[in-house]
This record gives sequence, C-alpha cells and structure tokens, in this order.
Amino acid sequence: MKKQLIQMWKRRPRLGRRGKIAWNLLVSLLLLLYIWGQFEYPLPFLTWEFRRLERVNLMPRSEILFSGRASKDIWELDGYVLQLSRDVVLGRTPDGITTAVLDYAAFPRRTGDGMIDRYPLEEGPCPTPFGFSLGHLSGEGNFGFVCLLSFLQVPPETARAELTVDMVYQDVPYHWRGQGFFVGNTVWFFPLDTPEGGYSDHWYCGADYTLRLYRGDGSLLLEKEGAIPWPD
Amino acid sequence: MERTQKRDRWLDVAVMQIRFRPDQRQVREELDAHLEDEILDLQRIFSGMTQEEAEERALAQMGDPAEVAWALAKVHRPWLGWLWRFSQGALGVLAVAFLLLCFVQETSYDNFVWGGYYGRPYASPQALEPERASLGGYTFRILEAVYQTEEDGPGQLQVTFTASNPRFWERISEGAVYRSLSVAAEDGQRWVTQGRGGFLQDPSQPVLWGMDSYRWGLFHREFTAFVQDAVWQEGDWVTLELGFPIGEVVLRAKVTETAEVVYP
Repeated sequence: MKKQLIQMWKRRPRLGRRGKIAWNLLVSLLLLLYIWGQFEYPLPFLTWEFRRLERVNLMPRSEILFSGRASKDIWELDGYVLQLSRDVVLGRTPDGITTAVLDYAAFPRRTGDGMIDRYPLEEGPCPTPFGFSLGHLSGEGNFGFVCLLSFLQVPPETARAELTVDMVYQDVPYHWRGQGFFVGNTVWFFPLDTPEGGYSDHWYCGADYTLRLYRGDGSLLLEKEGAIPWPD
Repeated sequence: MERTQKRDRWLDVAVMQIRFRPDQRQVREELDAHLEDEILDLQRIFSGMTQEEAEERALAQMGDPAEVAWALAKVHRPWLGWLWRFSQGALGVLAVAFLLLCFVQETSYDNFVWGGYYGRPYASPQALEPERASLGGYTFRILEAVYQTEEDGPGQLQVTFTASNPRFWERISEGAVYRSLSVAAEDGQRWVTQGRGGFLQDPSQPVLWGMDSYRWGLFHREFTAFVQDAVWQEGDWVTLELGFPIGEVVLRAKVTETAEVVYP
C-alpha cells in the first residue's frame, strides 16, 4: 500500500510554470477571501462602505451630498473648531435622505459597525439628524462632544445660519441656540450640546426647531420652523 | 573538465536575451550541462579527439549563440517569471497570515461560513415547499411555520425564513430585516416590530414578541420571528411581510405543525 502511494505520488501530474502560477494565484485568492471574511469584508473607501450599507439595508441608491472622515475634516467659525468623531455620509434621493454613520477609522474594520437611516425630504432647507454623538467642538478654552444636526438644500447665498431647538427630553427641558458650520454642497452642520445624563441615538427627533438664514449683508434670507423628523 | 573562455562566451551570449535573471541562471546551467554531455560523448565516440576539439565541435553543433538567444527569449518571457515570483510571494504571505489568524482568533471559522449556530431550541422543524420572493438582489423564503404550545403559558408561532445573496460580502442587515418585518394572520390581525429606539408609530399595534438570527452561512442569513397572543392551527395561513425602502416582499406559508416546547 505504501509503495503504491509512493508510486502514485511520483506519477502525479507536474505543472508547468503557467500551471504553478495559476495554482498559486488560486490558493492565494481563497486565502485572501478567507482573511477578508474574518474581518467581515471591509472595503477600502468610505463611499464604497456607504453603498454597501444601502444595499444590505435595501435602500435606494442616493446621490452623495456629503462624506466626512473622523479627525480629518475640520471646520472653523468665529474661533470655534468643529471636528467629526465618526465617519458620516449623507445622500439624497428624490423622496428622501439617507444618512450613515460608520466607524470607518477603526481597524480592523468590522462591516457591521455602521448605522444607516432614511428621513423624509422636505421642500427648502431640510433637517436631517444623525445617530450617535458625532463631533467635537472646541474653542475659547472649551472642548466638548456634540450631536450633529444637518440641514441640506440651504440656499447658496446663505452667509450665516442660526438654529434654535426646543424639546423636553427625559422630563428635562432642553434648549439650544447656535450657529451652523457650512460644510459644502448646500449642507450645514449644527453642533447641538448633548443632554444631561444618558441619551439615545435619535434623542432629538421630534424636537421643535427654528432656522434663520442670513445673507452676507446681514439681512434675513429665510426663516423656517418645524419638527426634526424621525427616521422612516 | 576545464572550462574555456570560448565556452563561457558562447553561454553568455546564448542567455543574454533572457531578461528574468533567475531563468537566465537556470538556463545557462542547463546549457552548460548539455554542452558538458556533448563534449564527453564526442570524446567517447572519437577516442583521439582532444577536449578543445570536442568543445569546438559541440559548440558548432549547438549553433549560432545569437540565434539561440532569440529563441530562448521567446520562450522565457520576463513577465511570466515575475508573475511566478509574485504568486510565490503572495502565497507565502497569505499562508502566514492565515496561520496567524487561526491561532489568534478564537472564532476564526465562524465568521466565514457557519457563523454562530445555536440550534433551534424548540420543536423540531418540518420543511415545506418554500415560496420565494426576490428584492434588491436578495432571495427570501420561508423555511417553516411552527406553532408551539406550552403546558403553563401562552403558545407561540415561530416563523423561520432566510435571505440569501450570491454576493457573500453583502449579507443582509439584521436591523433592516427587523425594522421591516410584520406577520399577519388570515383574519387580518398583524404584528409588527418596534421601530428604531423602541419607537412605535401606532402604540395600539400588536408587537412581535421578538426576532432572532440563529444561523447564517456564506450566502444567507436565517431569521425567526416569534408571535404570541394568538392561537394557531395546522393549516392556518401566515403571511410574512418585509417592507423595505425599495420595495416589499410578501411570503405566505401554512402552519405545518403544532408541537410542545422542548427545552434543551
């Protein structure tokens, strides 16, 4: 039996160079797929991850209006600096807005580390919450974590934007008033202070807001009131 | 056997067009060995021939080294050589990474293929002819609908279904399934899941007792929805509805059996 096995081994088909290359590459591909799978199939780009989040959540493909990387994208206003603490993507479809928050900066990245929501699309400036505490705001010796509320479809002639948010959260009145940061492509971010105590992902959904937009000469361009929407 | 400069020059010219260095060295050695054999054969056949004469004749028989060089270059492409080296290197690196992962990660196999299999803790399943529906590249089908009764307590309907996709790197989101899921009975009663953060748009709507993802494979995930507060009989129809942003999936199945709960 042993002799037969040795004979079979000696008579095994020998691969030429091309065959060896093909074999090496095939086994390499299988190993690569296995290793890729162990980290739950991370993708190299933030927008690719966003597209996959759309697909695995069976959401419509949106037009990406904004994508920002944690600790990389920074905005300044009147001595204050706003920085993202997580990667975010904001997309728009004809009937809705898609927001995604990803822990893209974490390595090794896990595909499951992401949250995606759909919100209704309104006429004019449209409020869109993000889940989680998403940013750092620093200035005048202060530093704090903030929750970002975005408005898109803000008129391009807007030079300054002010927002007021009022609600009762966990039986405690909450009031915030402040200015927004223009981040590009008709999108503005407003850094809401986090409420006292613990808070959930979408804690400010349902809150009343008043948005005031001003031109460069200081004149009022638009005022809008409404309620911050819940995710669909 | 002594080597002559003429022989070395011939070999150098014959391999100079091979641009992949490892191949160049190997072919040179093979040609050299072949020349060696030729010279020895000639000396054996013509017993009076000197080594120089035998070498001269052997080189003449091998032909013009420049022509040999072009012929060898056609066979030994450099890109093939580099691709071979690359494939060897890639295989080596990936094999080491694979072994490291096997030692470092406790659940190294789970994530790739079978995930966490906890088994069904209740009545044994009975497969039925599956109805399928597709949406967004995913294929959905109900595996079973079983009504379990307990001696002390309410009965429970267990509907197990799968969502599969050949793109194994895009298994469906458990959260998306949960948020979109509702179960309906023949009489129109419907059970829904709570929205994100426990938010219910209609607080009077009956809520599913829960949904779990027990098993998953390379190309699919399996889910089980639990419905309480109703009594089901074998043969009752149950409708599973999944309302995703891009469309709706509706599947129907008959309750295949009623069984008593068996705890592990």
